[in-house]
Amino acid sequence: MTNNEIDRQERAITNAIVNEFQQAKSDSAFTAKVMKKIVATQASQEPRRNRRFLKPLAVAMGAGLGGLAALNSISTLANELSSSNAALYSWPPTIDASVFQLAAVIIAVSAMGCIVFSEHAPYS
Amino acid sequence: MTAHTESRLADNDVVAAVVGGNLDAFSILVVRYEAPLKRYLVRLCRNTAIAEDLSQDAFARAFENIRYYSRRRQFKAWLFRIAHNLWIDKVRKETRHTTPLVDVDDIVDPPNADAIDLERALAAVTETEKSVLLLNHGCGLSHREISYVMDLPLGTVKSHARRGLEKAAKAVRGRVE
Repeated sequence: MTNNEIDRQERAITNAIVNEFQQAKSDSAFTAKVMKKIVATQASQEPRRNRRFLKPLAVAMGAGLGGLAALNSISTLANELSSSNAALYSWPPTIDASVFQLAAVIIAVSAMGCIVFSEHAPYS
Repeated sequence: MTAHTESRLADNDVVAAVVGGNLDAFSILVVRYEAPLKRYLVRLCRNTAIAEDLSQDAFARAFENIRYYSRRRQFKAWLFRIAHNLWIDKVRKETRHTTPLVDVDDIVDPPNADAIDLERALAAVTETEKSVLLLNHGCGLSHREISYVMDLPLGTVKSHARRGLEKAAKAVRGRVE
């Protein structure tokens, strides 16, 4: 088989592909379906888009509350250390257990709130 | 927008209108690229129903992400890239569930006796070579654009195009001889 014949066959294949694609016609029903789908998708995503700020807000609130609780515990500890002479010379210092309990509760509630909001707030 | 002005608008102008909030303008792009996109996917999937679903999904996804479309690219290449990736995802999913993708009833009509047997010619090439041939000759994309659509190096696209055409011609020759 000569090179010319091979070239001719390759051209015939490319022409066949070109013809097939040229013969393909657009269909108005398809366009209508696509536009309908787009409108439906847009409508379903609108509430999600509006709620998108919830997760960062929940994370920020959790982190803020956790930070406050930690700061509160540290400042309470510092106050206890400075006010109690006994505490200055002994370790661990004698601090009212309720301070730790309160801090623990605040941190736990903040962390739980953070986790719950993170799971449920949509964020895509 | 009248039908006349619609047909003269460049893709980037239509995209700008869509981004600006004109939802209906997107239908211009759908009408413009629906036929080649569907034909491309029918040839890849060999199933018209799946090809139609994938085409719809490709347009829907293009609309969702139209804000991220870069004007440096051709809209057509960007759209075909989305469609191609959707098809790859579909094939991966189908392979995982071992469901055959090909629906024998939906295979493109066999050619008449005088026409070249494109079905046979394309059956002889790999999926990648087929995609390159269809995107190049059917959809009119350049090798550079195909390398973007298929995420392949330009040299690889060129060698796929060459090898695919040779294999397809050989398959047709085999039938003639």
